[in-house]
Amino acid sequence: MKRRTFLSVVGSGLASAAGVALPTASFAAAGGDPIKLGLLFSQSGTMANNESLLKDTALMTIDQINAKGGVLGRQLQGVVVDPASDWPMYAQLSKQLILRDKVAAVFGCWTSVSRKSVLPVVEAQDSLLFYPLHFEGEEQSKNVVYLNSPPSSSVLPAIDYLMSTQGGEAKRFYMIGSDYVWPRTINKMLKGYLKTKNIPESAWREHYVPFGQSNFQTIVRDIKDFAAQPGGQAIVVMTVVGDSIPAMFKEAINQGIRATDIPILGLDVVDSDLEGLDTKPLVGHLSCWCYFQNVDTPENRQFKSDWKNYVAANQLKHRPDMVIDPMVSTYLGIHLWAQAAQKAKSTGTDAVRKALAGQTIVDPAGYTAKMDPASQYLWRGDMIGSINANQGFDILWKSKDIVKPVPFSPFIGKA
Amino acid sequence: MFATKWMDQSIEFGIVPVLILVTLYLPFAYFAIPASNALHLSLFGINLIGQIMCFALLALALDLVWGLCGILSLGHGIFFGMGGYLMAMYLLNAAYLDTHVLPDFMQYMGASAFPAFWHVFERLDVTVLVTIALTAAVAGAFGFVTFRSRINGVYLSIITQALTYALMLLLFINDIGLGGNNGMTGFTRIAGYRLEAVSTQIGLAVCSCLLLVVAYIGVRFLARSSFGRALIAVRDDEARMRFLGYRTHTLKLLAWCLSAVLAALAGMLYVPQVGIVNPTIVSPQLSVEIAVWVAIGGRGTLIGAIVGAILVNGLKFWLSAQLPSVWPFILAGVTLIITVYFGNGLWGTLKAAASNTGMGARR
Amino acid sequence: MEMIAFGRFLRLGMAVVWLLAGHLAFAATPGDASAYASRTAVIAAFCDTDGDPAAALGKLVEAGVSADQGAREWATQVMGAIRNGAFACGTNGQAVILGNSLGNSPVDAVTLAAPASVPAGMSPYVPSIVMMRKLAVAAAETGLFAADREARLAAAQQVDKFFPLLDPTIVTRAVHSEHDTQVLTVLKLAMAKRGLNSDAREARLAAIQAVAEVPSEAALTSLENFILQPGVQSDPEVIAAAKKAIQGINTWLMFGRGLSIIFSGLSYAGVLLLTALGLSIVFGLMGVINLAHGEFIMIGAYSTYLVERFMQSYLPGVFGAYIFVAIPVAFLICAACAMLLEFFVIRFLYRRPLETLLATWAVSIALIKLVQVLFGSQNVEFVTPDFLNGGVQVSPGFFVTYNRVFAIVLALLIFLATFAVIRFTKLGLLMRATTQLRDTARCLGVPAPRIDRLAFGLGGGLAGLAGVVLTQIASVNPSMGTGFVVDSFMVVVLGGAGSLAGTVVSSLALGEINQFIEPFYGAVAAKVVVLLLIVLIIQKRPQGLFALKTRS
Repeated sequence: MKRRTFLSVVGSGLASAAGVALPTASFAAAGGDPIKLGLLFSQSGTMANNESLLKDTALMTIDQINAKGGVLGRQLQGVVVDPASDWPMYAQLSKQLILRDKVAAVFGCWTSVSRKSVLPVVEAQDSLLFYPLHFEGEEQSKNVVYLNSPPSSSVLPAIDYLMSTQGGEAKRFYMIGSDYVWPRTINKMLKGYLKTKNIPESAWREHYVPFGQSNFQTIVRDIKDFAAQPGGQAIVVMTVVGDSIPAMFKEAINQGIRATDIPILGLDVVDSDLEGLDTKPLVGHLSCWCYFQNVDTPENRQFKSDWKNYVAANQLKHRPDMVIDPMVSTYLGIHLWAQAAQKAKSTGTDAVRKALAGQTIVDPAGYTAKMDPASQYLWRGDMIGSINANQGFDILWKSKDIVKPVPFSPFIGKA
Repeated sequence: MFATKWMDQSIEFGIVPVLILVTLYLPFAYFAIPASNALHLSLFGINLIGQIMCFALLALALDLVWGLCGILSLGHGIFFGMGGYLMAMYLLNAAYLDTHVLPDFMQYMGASAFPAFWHVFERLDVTVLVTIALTAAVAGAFGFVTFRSRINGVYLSIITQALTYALMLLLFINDIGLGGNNGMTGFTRIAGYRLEAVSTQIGLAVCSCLLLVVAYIGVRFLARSSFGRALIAVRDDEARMRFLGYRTHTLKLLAWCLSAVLAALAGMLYVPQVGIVNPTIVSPQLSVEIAVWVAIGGRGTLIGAIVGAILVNGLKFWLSAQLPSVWPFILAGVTLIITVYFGNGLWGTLKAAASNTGMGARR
Repeated sequence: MEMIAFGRFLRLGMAVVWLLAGHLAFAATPGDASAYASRTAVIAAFCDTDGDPAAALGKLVEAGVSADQGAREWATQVMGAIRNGAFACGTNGQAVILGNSLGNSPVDAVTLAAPASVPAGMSPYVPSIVMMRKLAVAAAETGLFAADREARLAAAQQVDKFFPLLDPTIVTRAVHSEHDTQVLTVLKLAMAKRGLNSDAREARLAAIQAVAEVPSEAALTSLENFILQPGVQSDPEVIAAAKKAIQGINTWLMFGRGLSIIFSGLSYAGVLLLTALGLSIVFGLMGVINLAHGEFIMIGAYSTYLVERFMQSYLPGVFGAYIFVAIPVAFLICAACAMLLEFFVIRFLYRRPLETLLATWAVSIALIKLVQVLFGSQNVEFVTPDFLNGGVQVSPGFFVTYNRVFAIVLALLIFLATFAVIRFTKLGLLMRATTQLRDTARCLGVPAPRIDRLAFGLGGGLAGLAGVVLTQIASVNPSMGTGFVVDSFMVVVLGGAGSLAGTVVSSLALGEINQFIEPFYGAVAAKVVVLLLIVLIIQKRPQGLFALKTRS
């Protein structure tokens, strides 16, 4: 009797304890010497391809800083977790990084939905998230450092170009995006902007597909229909992400759409999305970022060769000759954090935040990026790239100097 | 005989004091035990326990219909998700009162205020009642049509999978107005308490444990009552029960609705602890995983469901942090071994072994 | 008389002088600095930020259609280089044509010879979209005078496509010098269409007729834009003709759109059929719900990937045939996997369908993780074989891509083969017997467990074939199978387990319904509606449309 009750008690007790004590007990990390930085990038799922590049860039940057003596005399240590492209997991793991691993700052997220999932956590725990992707703006949190451009500095110049004589005088816009916050907000802003340019409502069409959609047959047909209607040159504003990008390009190629017929402005297209595609039929489609790897500056040459050596030395599965904007942004973010911590002589959030204001850093794209003291956005240069026949981008246009980021677009309310 | 029965009952009932101990341990471990001690629980750990307790309740709900009644539902995520989403709607209302800022997904969809039907969820008590009513109604509608058509077994399982898949696809669409892929996040307050406060987090975890205890006692009582006996008989041979004059579809419907409500309540407690709800809560995978927890723990035994859920989720949280590449293989291996060799699950086998070696009494 | 003759002689002389001048301006006689000077000016116009590339392009075209061979070649090389992104400008105004894929070293853009020194800081000239269009027309206009007939035909079609941009003098010259009837027709059509821009009513009416005869979306656009022109608004006859033409084109386009929807429905149905066929056989025979079915599809796709890689390395000559080689390979690999699964797992769970469900689910997550570990979790890109690239405009508004035609044809062939196996072979006979009356068959000596294993293998193999087909039309990654499991089960449940005819009918029905709803409400809504429809139908008729045996 006693044995049985004891058994049952022990049995259920062990089960509960196992579920709980093990994770917390085994990671009772003592204060320790190295400064921990959280790396919140997916290594599995739809975002794996892109985000694992950022994780490895971050680790490479940490190695470089450590080789120069670290920060405040201590070495940096990257704590890698895998949220598996599951948005709630990003929230869960960011909590884990901050509360359990006691990281000084979190570097992570690609999609805006993952950032939005992490935002409440970093705000509640008063930590810092360094976010390396261009995004839709409409956000300004003292717990997020925005390393890349809002639409005012990236999307609008590209749209202006396409509406200019040189760009083909676009008058009609087909907006196709994945169904989440970034495409929806970008398109909302775009519609407001078009309204100020007196483009009527009949001149645009808006369509959303779920994440990971790969069948664009009907949509590409719809685009052809739309372009055939009168009213001027039609362009496609493509805000699909991840796997949908090569799927849509393939369908466009198959159905015979060329940049000379209907130019596609792919706002989230990077070189890795063009891998494996025959890009000759895609030549001329556009994208906009703060950096393209064909920029010829000494810093870029150094960065590209560092990356090449790092991939070879660690036998990574990435292409050694491919560098994309978010990688550079991650690199800049870690350096900025290190500079701020060094200046503030502390790794505390408040101290680092104050020291970040006004920090400058040389961007491999050939500009000197500057941290805006008020908005915590990074001032960067702006470029428009044109797809070339070698699965890469040629630089069609670049801004003369860094551009002031505008967090809250004046065009959102006008839609 | 009475002694054996009492012994069996006490084993199973033993889980109740264990759970109550855990409930008391939570605040104690946080406040009283210093951080350097291995028995201390960080806020993160407490949060984790709370979530696991919600999963255990969800498993209990499934065991009610599967273990006792023989209905393998692979769509219980629907009810879990319903509870989660409705609770999230209340939480967003509360957050709006707090911050006067509309949720993100409403802003980018162009709304300037909450849609009219959101006002129903402004009070917690109303939300709970509406959730229970709505879940029971949906479950009732489905069960009424399905059980009357005598759909059983694998067909029913597949249909429930299809329905949860359809719901997930539907929720991904932003136009529905429930946040789409972004889901709903940004909760600040619950019942007036600040959500991120330590006491609130501990309170939620404690509530989850207590709800599990109450639900377990309730379901156990039900299982031992004549209603429960009838359910088990329906599971074993429905045709015979029908022949004997029982209205089997009504019995199944009642069990089904109760199970759905329990699942919804689990969802309601889960979402404030996780801080976000998005369509993956109704993904087909999660719904199958619930069945796996119950199967591993031992279906039909009620405790088995709880033990299975706690064990599997505990291992999952621990291992996917340590060895993310290995966890799926471990889960797959354990599931295969349990389903093929230990049909009764862990607890069921333990119980069978104990009753064989112990007093020799057979159930 | 003498005056007229003198006049003619004068004009002839001027023509000769003009031709010679043209020749001299761009000819490449060695050491002729003035020729290079004009070429340098053209090149500089591209590289200078203040230059006028459009005018320079005009000069290039002039050179390209001139009588001088050297000038034509120079112009063709430069235009080709610009279009291929191989034209690079240096900081000192010099430009080179970079080596192409054959490995040539860079040549100077003016002399077409190796440069004295390769200047530093070369950056490629990136044409704007407007320039790209002009280049396309320019290249086409130059191509009108090529020696090869195919090249001339392609150039003529290009000119026809961009007819608003064409240069009438050049095209007229081409018309005069062209002898081939097909090329002539295309050129005359292009010129006729251009008549839309003229002021003469006759030319306009002729143009409207010419455009209406070849209905297409582009034709519709040009006519709609034409009507809006103020000069046209005043002429009711022209407007009436144009409106009639527009109506005709619209009818054609609507018809084409309808055909498109039916075609997409067929291709979707083909995919559904392939994925559901194996499941139908297994479910009908054993009542086994195999949640790992999606993973067999995925393994089929990855087998195709391995075959593709293998053939790329070792048999590059016949690379395009990798799809056909992959068919038996994928079938065998997946059949083997399925039979292993049956042997190690399923056969212990006989008569325990709910446990089978969970066990196969466990296998599926293990398989997904295994493939992830082996191949990575990113999408695997397939190089489309040449014969599957692109498509053809069957009728206005109805564009058919070859990869989907291939999918439909393959689905049909596989179905017919399966039907033949089930209907005409001994194995099929035994399978049918075991499905319909298992115990009686066993009494008659049919080895039911072995039949189960073979049937499971057949089901897995068919799933593998579905994977092969899907490599061309869907994205391939480790979790691709999960998207197909629910759909294929729905097809099987609706069609009736074990019934091949049921599977065909239900996949056709579901495919078409889905594609009819999609253009209006989107793909997701279409999917949800179809799922709900099936659930409702099943409530009424649980055994499916074509029931082989009742299961409740």
